[in-house]
Amino acid sequence: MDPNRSIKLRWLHGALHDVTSELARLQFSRFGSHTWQPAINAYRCDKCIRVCVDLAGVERSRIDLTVEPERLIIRGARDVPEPTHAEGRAVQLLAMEIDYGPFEREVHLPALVDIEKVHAEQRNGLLWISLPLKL
Amino acid sequence: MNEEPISALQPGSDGKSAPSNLTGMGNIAETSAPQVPDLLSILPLRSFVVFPGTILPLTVGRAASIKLLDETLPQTKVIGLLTQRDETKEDPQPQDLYPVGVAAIVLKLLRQSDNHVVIVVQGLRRFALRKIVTAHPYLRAEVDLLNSKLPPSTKEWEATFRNLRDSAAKLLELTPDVPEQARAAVLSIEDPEQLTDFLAPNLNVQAAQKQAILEELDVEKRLAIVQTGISAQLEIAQIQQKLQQDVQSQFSEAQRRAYLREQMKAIQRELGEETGATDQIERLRKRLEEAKPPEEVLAQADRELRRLDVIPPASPEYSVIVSYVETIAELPWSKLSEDNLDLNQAQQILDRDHYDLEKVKRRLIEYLAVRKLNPQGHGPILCFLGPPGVGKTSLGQSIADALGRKFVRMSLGGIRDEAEIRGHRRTYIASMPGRIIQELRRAGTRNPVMMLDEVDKIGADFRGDPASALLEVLDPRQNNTFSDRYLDVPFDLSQVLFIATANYIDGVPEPLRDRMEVISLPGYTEREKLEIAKRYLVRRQLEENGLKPEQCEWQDDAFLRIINDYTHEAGVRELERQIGAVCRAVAAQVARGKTERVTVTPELVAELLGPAKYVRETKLKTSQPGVVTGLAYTPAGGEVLHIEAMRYPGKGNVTLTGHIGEVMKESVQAALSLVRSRDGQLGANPEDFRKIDIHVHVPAGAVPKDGPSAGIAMFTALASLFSNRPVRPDVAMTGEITLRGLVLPIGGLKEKSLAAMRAGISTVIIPKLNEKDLVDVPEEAKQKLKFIPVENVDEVLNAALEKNGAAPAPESKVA
Repeated sequence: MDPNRSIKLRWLHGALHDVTSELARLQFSRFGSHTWQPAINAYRCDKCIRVCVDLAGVERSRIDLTVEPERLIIRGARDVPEPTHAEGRAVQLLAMEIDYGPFEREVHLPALVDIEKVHAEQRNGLLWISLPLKL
Repeated sequence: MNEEPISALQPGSDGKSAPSNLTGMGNIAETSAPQVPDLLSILPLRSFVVFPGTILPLTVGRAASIKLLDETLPQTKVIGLLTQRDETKEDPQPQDLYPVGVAAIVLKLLRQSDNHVVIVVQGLRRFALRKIVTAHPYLRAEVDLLNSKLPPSTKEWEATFRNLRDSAAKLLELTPDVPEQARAAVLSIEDPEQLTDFLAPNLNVQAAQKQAILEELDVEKRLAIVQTGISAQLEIAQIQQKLQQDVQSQFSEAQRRAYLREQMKAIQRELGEETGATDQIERLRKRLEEAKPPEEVLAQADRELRRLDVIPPASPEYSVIVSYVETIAELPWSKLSEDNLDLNQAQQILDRDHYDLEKVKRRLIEYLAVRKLNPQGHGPILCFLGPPGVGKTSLGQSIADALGRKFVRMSLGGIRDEAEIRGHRRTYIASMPGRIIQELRRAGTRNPVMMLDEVDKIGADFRGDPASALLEVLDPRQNNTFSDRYLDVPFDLSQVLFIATANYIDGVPEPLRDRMEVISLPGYTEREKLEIAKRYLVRRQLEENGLKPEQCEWQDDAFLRIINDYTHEAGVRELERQIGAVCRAVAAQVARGKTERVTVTPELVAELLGPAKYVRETKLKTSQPGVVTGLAYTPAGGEVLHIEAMRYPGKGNVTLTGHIGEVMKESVQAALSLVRSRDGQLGANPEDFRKIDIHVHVPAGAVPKDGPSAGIAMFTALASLFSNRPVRPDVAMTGEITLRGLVLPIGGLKEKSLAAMRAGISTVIIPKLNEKDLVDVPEEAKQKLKFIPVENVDEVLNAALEKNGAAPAPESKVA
C-alpha cells in the first residue's frame, strides 16, 4: 500500500455519510476480501513515537502488530458489534456504520525505532503503541 | 459479541477464526471469504448487475426491500442480489428476476429517512435459484452456489488474459476522473475471473448484457465478451482523447505564443527598450487616424502596425515598417487647400508676375472658371513649351499663387530610373516612395500645383522608362488611383494640377505629349523684353545689388542696347544677367562714394559691358552670291542661320561642313539636284558641274544643326552661286523643298520670325502652307516683317535674288 493512499483514505475516514467518497474508498481498495483501515493519531515524543489506533471493540488477541525499524503494520479483524442475548436480540438493524471485518493499517515511521522495545496497551478502546527511537 | 456460531456471525468472524498472538509474529488468515448460507433473502435490483468482488452502495426504497433488510440483517449480513428483467416493475415476482445472481455481504447500513436506506454491499459468489421458499413480503430462496470453469493454463490463455488487463489499464488511463490507484489495482489482479468480474460492471453496456456476462460460467468466454466491450470503449476513448488533444494543441499553441510574447516584453522592459516602442506605435496609430486615409489604406497600415507589435525594435524590419506607416500618416489623404475662385484676383496675380503670355493666362482663368462650376472635375495637365528663360517655371509658381494652392516642383531632367517616379517596392533595402508621392508629402495637400520640369529631358535605360511611368500619373482618367510601389495602396492624384515644362516638344515621348495640353511660350520680342526688363528685371536686380530705384535710373534705350548688342536669346535670362552686371558696376561706384545717383544710358552700358557681343551682320554676310540667311528652330528659340556656298575647280565633289546632321545633308543634296535640273533656267553651264567642286558651310561650325527646314535656303544659296546673283541682304527664308521644286511647310514659325526680327531682317519667305500660322506671330513682328508665302522654288528665287544680277568681280572670276 502506498503512503499516498493511506493519507487520502485517512482523510476520508469519518466522513461516512459521504457515500460517494466511501465508494471511492471501497471500490479501489485491494480486490478480494475487503479490509478496512482504522484511523490513527501519531506523535513524535522526546524518545519515542506514539501511535494511537482507533480500534475499539477489538480484542487484544485479535490484533496483530508487525513492527519493522521504519514501518508498523496493524492487522486484525473486528466482529460486528451486536447486542447480546442478555440485552435482548436485535430485531431490526437501524444503522451499521462501524467498520467490521478484517482490517489492515500500515504506518510509515519517520525515524528508526527499536523493535525490541515496542509495546502496546489498550486504553478505553484505543490501542496505544509506543515505539522507542533508536539511539 | 455473538457466541452462537450461526449465520449472523459467520461472515464477520469466520475470517479470523485463528486469532494470532498480539506481538505481531503470527499471521491472521486474511483472505478467506465469508460463508454464504443456502437460504438467502433476495433483494431485487432494478437496473444494474452486481458482480463478485464489487463493492457498491445501493439505495433501497421499496417497502418490501426495507423489510427484507430489517428482518434479515440482524440474522446475517449476507443477502442475495438478483436483477430485474424489467427495471420499471415496482413489485417484481420471482419470474421477473433473472435466475442467476450474486450473494453479497452488507458492509454498512445508513438510514437517511424511514423509507430510505443506503447499504454498501460487496459481491461474494454467483448463485442460481434452486427453490423459492417464500415470495412474500420478500423473496427467500434456497440457492446453489455456482463455480466458474477455468480453462487450462496455457500460454495462449495467459496472453489473452494479459491483453485484457492491459486494455483495461489503458482505458482507465484515458478515462478522466479515475484515480491512479484504479489502474494499479487492475494491473495487480492476477486472477482472470476476478478481472472479468471487476471490469464487467464498468462496461458501458445494457444491464441485460451484463447479466449475460454474469451468467457465463466459462471464464474463457466471459473474458472474450469483456474484451470486446473494453476494446470498443477503448477505441471511443482514444478518439475522444485525440479530439481533445487537437483542441488542446491549438489552444496551447496560442497560449504558448502569448506566453512567449509576455516574456519578451518582460525582457524588453528589463532592458529598458519597451516603453519607447509601445509609445511609438501608439503615436503612429494616432497620427494615422488623424490623416484620415481611405478605409482600405487604413486597414493596410493597421495591419503593419499590428506586425510592429510583435517585432523587436532592434530588427531591421521594424524601422522599415515605422517609416512606411509614417509615410502613410504624413500623406495628405484628405487635406485639400481651398481654391481661390475669384477670377479677377487670380488675373491680377498672374499679371503682377508675368508680362503678356495672354494665351497661358487665359487658359488658367478658364480652368478656374470650370473649377468654380464643377468642383469635382479633373485637374488639367498642361505642358508649357518654350525656350529657356521665358518664365515657364516661375509661371508655375504664380499659377499656384493665383489659385491659392501649394506649389511643388520636381525636375525630371536626367531622371532615368522608373523607380524615381513610382518608388521602390518595400522589399528593397532603403526603399522609398517615388518623387510624386514625396512631393505630395512635402506639399501637405492633395491638390497642389505640381510642376514637372524638363519633361523633354527624361532619360531611359535598362532600369525602365520613367516617361512611361509618368503616363499613369498624367492620365486624368487613371491617376485617381495612382499606385506607388512603396505605398502599395492607391492615391488619388486627380486633384493635382500638373504642369509640365519642356524646351523642345520632340524630346517629349509621343504618348506623354498626347496626354498633355501643350501651351507654347514662344520667345519674347524686343518690345516685350523691354517691358519685362523695365517692370521686373531691373527692380529685382536693383534690390539684389542693394540699390534704391532712385540711385540708378534706366533709359529705355539702354535696355534696347543690352537686348540687341549684348544678348541673343529667346528668353530674358541673359538680359537679366547683363542688367545685373550694370547694376553691380553702378553699385560699386555708389559704394565707393563716387556718386549718389546714376542714369544708365546706352553709352554707359557700352562703357560698362564692353564691346557689343552680338553684331547684326546680316547685310555683311549676304553681300556676295552663294550666301543666304536661313531660319532655324532650336530649343533655345528661333535662330538665324547663315548658309555659305562656294565653288572652285575640281571634279564635281560636294563638301559639307558646319556640324550638320543627316537630314540637313540630304536636303543639301536635294537642293543641288534641283539646281542642276534647272541649269538652263539659272544660266549655269551644265558642264561646270563636272569640273568644279562645291563647298557648303553652315556657321557657326561648332553648333550641331539638323532638319529639313533649311531646304529652300540651301537651294537659294546654290542657285545664287550658279546664277551669280547675290541674295537680297534683308531677306531670310525657311521651308522644306522637294525635288519637283515645291515648298513644304515647317514648324516653329513664330520663333523663327522673332529670330528674324532680332536679326534685323525685313522680309521673310515662308511656305504658303504656313500662312495660317501667322496668327500666332506677335503683332510687333508682323508690323516689322514682310512675309512672302511661296509655293515653289521659283517664287523663292524671284523674291530672294537681286533682280539685276550685278555680279561682283571676284565671283565671275571663279566661275
